[in-house]
Amino acid sequence: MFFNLKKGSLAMIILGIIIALLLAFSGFFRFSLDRRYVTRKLNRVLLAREFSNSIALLAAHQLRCRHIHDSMDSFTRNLSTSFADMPGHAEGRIEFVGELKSTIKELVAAGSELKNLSYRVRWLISRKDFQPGLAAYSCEKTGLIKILVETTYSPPGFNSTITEEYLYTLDVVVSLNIVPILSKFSLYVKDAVAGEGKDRFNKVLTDKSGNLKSAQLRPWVLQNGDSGGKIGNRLIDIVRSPRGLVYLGGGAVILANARAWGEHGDFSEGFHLYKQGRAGSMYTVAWLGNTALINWEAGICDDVSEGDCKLWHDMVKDGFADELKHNSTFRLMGTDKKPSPTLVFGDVFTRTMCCRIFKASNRAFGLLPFAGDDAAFNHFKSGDDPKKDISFFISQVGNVSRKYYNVNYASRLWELPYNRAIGYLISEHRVPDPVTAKQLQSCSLLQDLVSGKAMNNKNAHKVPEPFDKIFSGVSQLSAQETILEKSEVPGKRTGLTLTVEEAISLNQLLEKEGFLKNGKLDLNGWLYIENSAPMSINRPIQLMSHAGIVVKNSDLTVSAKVSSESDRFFLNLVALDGDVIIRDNSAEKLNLALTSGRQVKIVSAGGQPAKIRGNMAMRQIRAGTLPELFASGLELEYEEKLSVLPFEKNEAEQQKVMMHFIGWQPRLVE
Amino acid sequence: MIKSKSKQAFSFVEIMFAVVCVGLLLVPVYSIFSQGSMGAIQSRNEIIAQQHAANLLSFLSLFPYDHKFLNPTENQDFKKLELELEGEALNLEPEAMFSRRIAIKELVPDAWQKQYKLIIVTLNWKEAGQKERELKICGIKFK
Repeated sequence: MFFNLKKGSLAMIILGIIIALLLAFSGFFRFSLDRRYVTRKLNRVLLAREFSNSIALLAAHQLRCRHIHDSMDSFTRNLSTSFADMPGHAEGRIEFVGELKSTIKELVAAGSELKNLSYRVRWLISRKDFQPGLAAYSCEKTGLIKILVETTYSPPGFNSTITEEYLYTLDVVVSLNIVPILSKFSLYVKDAVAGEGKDRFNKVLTDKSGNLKSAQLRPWVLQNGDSGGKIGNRLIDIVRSPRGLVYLGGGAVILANARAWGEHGDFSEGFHLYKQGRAGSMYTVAWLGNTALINWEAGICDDVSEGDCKLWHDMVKDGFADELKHNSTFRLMGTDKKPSPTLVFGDVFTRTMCCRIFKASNRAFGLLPFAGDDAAFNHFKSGDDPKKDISFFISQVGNVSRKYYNVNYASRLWELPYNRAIGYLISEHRVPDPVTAKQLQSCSLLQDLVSGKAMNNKNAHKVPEPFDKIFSGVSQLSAQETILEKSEVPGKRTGLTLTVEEAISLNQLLEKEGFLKNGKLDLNGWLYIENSAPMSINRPIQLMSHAGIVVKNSDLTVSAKVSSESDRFFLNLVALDGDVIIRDNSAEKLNLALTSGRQVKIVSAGGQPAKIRGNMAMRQIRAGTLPELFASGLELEYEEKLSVLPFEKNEAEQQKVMMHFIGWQPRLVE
Repeated sequence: MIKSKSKQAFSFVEIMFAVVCVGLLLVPVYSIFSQGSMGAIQSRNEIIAQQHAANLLSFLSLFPYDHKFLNPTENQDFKKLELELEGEALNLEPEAMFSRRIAIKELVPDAWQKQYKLIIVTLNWKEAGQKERELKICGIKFK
């Protein structure tokens, strides 16, 4: 029995070993099977992730190229609202339609390793993912939007499905297409004098009606927006209207007025004067006993041939020969054919020809000519010349010296505050002195600007309210460099920064970055370029959204058309340390806002004036550049969208110049 | 003479019988072990294949859109992949058993700002005694 037990034990031991081996290797087999399953599943997960990456990329492109252009789209509405009103959480579905549908189809077909593949894509916007931008403009913000991709597929060997979610983020910068403060000006020149003296701009020759006599220089004519709108009689109303202002700094500047007799010419400026300087525009300025001292102003022209013109010329020629013929290269408030009043800041004067008349009765009246020397003065006093007989007048005022006579009584060229024209427009030319007649509602600053006192107390150089509160410490209009620095491009308003070391045109660069295709530009944000070579726009561009480009170094040249259908958009070009040069010969309208840390130049456009709808801001009009600058002229029409007001609760105005810069490449949140 | 009962031994036939039984029982055990090993090898190869495919896809994604390597192609063999950086060479060539192909298809949606290239990397390999296996991974590039 003992013997049988031992024999049986051996069998049991062997059987046990075999069973143990069986179990071990079964376990190993099971482990191996599980690992294979996990490996294959991992591979599918990786395939699903690559697929989701591609879907997220296309979703980002759809948001950027389609959704954001529809102001009624809930994505756009949630992104465009002011920062304070942003939703805590908002989401929406992204459906691929139209152009991307075929691309999606190809992608799904290529992902055929994933069985029963389907997907869902959503965008998510939360206020906590954003930071506010410039405090003055509540809609500006930076942050990120999220894209959630849900991918569903069947794992290998199973009928059930796996759903995986991948979260991506996309940087976004919401900004306005303006350079704060500077964009409120149709024309801004920090230093308009540039060492050439206050008369430097009086170079244009026109006839008595205001038509050009010489093709040598042609004025820049401004249209300051708010067309058809009457200019308000309160400063705050003028500044708050969609009207571009003007600033010519750097010292006193005299802009001679262009005469407007007869039928209005192309460049006449009669509306600057009391009753347009025509018959009936005489007004009494003083009483000397029973004798009235009367002014009759007219503009400057190069016309001395015909009767009245010759007479007026004779009245002043002895004292002002050099300034008698030329009027200004600027029409800051438009022309008689199309007036466009605005406020002009800086020490800016207009020059008129003021013919002085004395009148004691219907029989005792006459002209008061300027006496160039004592001989002329004595001749006038003698009464020998019936046209220049001042003997009666001298008998009324006493035997005054020639100097006293010339300063206080004689006809002369007269420099007056340029904004005086505003006073006449507000008062509808009913009164010769709108300031003292209280036509301007008591607003000391507006009165000061119209009367000229603002030049003495430096208010003519101050940033007007409410724009003075945009940047703390910036109260002077001359602070262009500080304004540009605080405008945050480069900075938090920048959508994209590029470093360019080669010589490349802007067209090529924008095409390379994917913003420009077939001549259509969809930048929708601020682009900052750190460049070493000059940049240029040398092929036509049609704007599909607002665009802002800031170039750090060198010049920026535009030699092709930049347009926008129905003037819906404009391109804001800023050269921080270079000239902006317009060299377009087509004479078609350019939708451009131009800012230069040096000078904006208009190079001859084939004899036709350049046409720009936007604005211009520059540091200086350099000495010696006037002949080229004003060779063909310019019609500058202020883009009213640029005048968006700061600290406004109404977002609608801000949204007219809003840009949403969304990146091309989403990032996976690991 | 007294016979010792404890010294009885197994006959040769009994031992042979036992060996045959053990051998027969070990066959399924060996088969299970073999299957498990094969599975481990397949898993390893799948992981390697996925890595090679992902490497190639990542490598191609680095090229500019218009690079010659990204010209549209139906199915092109991609045998050798070697990177050199500061004199150091990095060989990304897979083992001989793997073969890689790439297919690139350009997609230009009408009136769309971007155009795309669909990059499909296919890896094929065959294990001993098994049918040919394939792994496909795709990505997208845009300009």
